[in-house]
Amino acid sequence: MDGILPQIVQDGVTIFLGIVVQATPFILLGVVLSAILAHFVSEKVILKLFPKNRLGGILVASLVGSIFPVCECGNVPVARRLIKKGVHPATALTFLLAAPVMNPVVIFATWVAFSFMPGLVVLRVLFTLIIAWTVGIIFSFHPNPKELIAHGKDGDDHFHTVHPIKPFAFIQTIAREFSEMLAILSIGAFLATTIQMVLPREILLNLGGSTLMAILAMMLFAFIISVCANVDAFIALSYVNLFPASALLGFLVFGPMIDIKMLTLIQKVYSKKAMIFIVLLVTLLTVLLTYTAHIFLL
Amino acid sequence: MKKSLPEKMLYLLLSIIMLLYGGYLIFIYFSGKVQLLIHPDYAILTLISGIALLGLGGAGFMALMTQKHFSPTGAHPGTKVELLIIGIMIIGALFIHPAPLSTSTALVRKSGLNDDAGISRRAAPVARFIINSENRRLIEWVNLFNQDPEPSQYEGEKAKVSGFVLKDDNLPQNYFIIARFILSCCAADARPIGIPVHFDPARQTFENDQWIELQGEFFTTELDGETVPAIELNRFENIPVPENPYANL
Repeated sequence: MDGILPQIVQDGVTIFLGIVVQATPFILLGVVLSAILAHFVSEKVILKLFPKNRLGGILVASLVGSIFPVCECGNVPVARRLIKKGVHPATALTFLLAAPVMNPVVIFATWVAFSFMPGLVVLRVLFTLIIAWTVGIIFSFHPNPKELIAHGKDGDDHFHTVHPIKPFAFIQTIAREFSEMLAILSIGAFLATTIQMVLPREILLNLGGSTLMAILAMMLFAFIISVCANVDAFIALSYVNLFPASALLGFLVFGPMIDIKMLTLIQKVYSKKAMIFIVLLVTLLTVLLTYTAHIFLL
Repeated sequence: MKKSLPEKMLYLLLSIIMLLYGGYLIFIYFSGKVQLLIHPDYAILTLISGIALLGLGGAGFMALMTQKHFSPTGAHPGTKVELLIIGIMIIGALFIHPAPLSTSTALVRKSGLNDDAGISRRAAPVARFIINSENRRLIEWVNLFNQDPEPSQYEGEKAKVSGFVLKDDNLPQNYFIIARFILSCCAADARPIGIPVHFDPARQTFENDQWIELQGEFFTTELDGETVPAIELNRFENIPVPENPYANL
């Protein structure tokens, strides 16, 4: 079918496949980690890792991402598995929000891109932690944590660690989760591709009249472009002459937490109501922190 | 334990899907098509994922065909909708191959073709030390312009660059942009860079997406309200689309 399709459709196919193929290794790694947790790590061990007290659990969750240097897509099956193993949904949410940036690969990549603006690197890490902690703490006060979780037909709520280890059950778990994540990723990639193909980037740039509008424009751009945190610093860098540093910071903080791809994946973990609050909170906190940084620091 | 037919069928389909997708990833790696989709630094992960999926799909298929090894979990193997979505994606990918991004995407994504300072900052010191200007690639010229924007210092320098023709409505008819895309992650973030080229429309015509290698000399001109360096075209030749059409370092 080469050469038959209109150029714009052919480009859309290339962009769509680029998103899916790029994310595949990280999703595979995430579901393998999730399956390892399911089959080889008991609930007791998991719950010991996360302190029972509210602040301790959230603090540990925000730092666990440094052990899993995967793209944010890979963290979603891990977060879901943690919840199934008894971790509080708010704690898992903190992990999900912080892990994409609290990751040695991402921090190093940000440093390489912005070595001439080290404050930006520090603020990216700091603001990510503040937002992850704040959202986690707020959600931890929910009177009925089960209402935060999405309920689906995946049916392995009663899965426990199996002794002796059954290798094919392990493979089945990976296959099941991988197909679920891949299907969701495909939908997210399709949406991101469609929006990118029809929305000229100049419109986003023209939105950046004031600093606040620039921050919102770059956050919107991060939401649409849906790329992994380990390379987004170089994308932000290409706009360094067009947008203020605070807007670039908004892109770097908001993108790894909330984008089209992530939203389609997270809806497998958290309920629709919870997701709306997560998006609103993360958006508000990102704007607040980056605008404050603009006034006092950048 | 006897498995109900629908669940076993769904698991079989899952295994087949993983085998197909793993095979597809390995195919695009060895055929070079992966370079159209993602940054070269990530290509090896595509191969590893492909091999892993082949292994997992094959092992799952074998387990299902030898019933006594099958471990029923009672867990739902995934909805038919998910399998349908993935099936459509994989079958679509097998028939519609990726291709270099075109001028359609370049025009949607351009935000000032010489504004890219992203990857360019690391390359600019290298570009300066390329004594023979004809050895500088398109990205190296754009890097230099970003570091030293004064166009008059490039006047008379010889250029030999390759890329695709991009005709922009904002430019006069005797100009086109010699362009390439650069990307950091994957085709989703690809954005165009380029240099304006002046030519004589009475002697040559160019079409969008035409891949050429051109030679010329730099001069200073005013385009779209800005004073910029441009290339006066001396000669060109059509070239095949490169296996890796991106201008990454």
